[in-house]
Amino acid sequence: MLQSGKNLGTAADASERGGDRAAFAEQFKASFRTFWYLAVAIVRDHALAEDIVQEAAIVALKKLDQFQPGTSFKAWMSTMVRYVALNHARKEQRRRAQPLDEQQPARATAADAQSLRVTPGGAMHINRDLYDERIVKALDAVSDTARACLLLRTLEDMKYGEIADLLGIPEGTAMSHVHRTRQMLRQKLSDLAPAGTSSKRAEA
Amino acid sequence: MSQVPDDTREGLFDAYVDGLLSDSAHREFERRLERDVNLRDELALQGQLNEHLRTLFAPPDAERIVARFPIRSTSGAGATAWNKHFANVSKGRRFAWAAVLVVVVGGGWLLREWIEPPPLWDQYKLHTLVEVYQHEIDTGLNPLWVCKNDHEFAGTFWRKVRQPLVMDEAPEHLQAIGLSYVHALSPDTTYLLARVRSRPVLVFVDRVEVDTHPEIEGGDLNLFRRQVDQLILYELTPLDEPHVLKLFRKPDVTIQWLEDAPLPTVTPAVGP
Repeated sequence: MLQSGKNLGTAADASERGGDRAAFAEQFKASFRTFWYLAVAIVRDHALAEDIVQEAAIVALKKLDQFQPGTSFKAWMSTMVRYVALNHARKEQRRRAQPLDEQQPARATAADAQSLRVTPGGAMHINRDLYDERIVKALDAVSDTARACLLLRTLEDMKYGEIADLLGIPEGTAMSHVHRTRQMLRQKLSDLAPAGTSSKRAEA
Repeated sequence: MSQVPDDTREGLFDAYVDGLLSDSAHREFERRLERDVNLRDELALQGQLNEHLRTLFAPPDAERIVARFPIRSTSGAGATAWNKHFANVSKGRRFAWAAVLVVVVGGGWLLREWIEPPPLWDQYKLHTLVEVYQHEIDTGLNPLWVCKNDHEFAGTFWRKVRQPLVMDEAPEHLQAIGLSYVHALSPDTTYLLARVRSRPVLVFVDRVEVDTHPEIEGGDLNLFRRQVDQLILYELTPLDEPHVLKLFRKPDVTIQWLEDAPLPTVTPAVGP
């Protein structure tokens, strides 16, 4: 079994140390959150992001002999995740470009609206109140890279240098993406500031 | 940290949120916070946004993903490494294994399973409909998704094949189990797992433009075809007539309703 650490080693090493799959799984789990944030930043859908990360893992397992010892497994695997996610996003874009949407009827029934309100959602739709809807919509307006930077910095507490290495962008750019996206979110959601904050109290 | 935060209000704000201010700058910023009510509000808002982001983008359980990818790869490095594993066994152990082989010729298939693992199920690899059926029989009809209602069901087909489908109420002898997808007609072929009179039945769904008009020859299975608007449906069944195909229909709903569809429940994976 591989020791938890930055490098995976070669496929043969991994095999000798107890099996490729076990070693791979260990490293995969250690950095899974990063892969997840990268995928969801690009495809913007929880179920799809899960599929993307899984598919990337399968691709990576098949290409394990191409992994360079001494390099970062997280970076290598992140490249796979981004590649698979971007491929999917492009495919989806092509699909949406087809006039298929026009074939969909544009009428929602009362029953539909009712189902929307009462049905418990999947992961991304949990607590999807007005606030969450507006955050998602606001994030739709920024680039995949900016979303990835924000999620990795805010939710994974990753340093800007590491984000930059992972995404192949300058550190200053990673920082700028995060700051601008945060600022944009604050501007777009300023009317939904937490209840009871000082300004609201002052107004009252 | 090579980037130095700028000393504008926004620059200091972000550096404070990122924890990148020096001790003295940090103290100064907190003094400013005490004086500046707008700055305090902005900080509170940022905290609230971060919490919402945390909920909105909560990652799934990594174990669930790991459980789904192949135990051992059958191609490329994985297979090589697996074979190397056997090659690395010491001479003494090889001799022991040879002895075992001689002794248990009758039950040799068990050892063969160990030396040559059976092909693994890879949903991303192209499969025939019959292969998918056989896989589902072998694994006990284990769907990837279970939908609680029409909204989830329609949304799942919308996400996979860009057209919603719903099913009319099933008669008593028909049990819809769940949905999965596989690379069959296309990489997005989505299929329903069902039992009709306790017999396993699969209905494969994909877009008409990727239809390969598959046929099955011989065997005990029958294949039935139906088109529902832009989708092609194939029912693969051991029965002499289709029972599930006729239950599918395209619902009259909006794109927004579909985009808002809750995700179905993901079921635990089972091994090959």
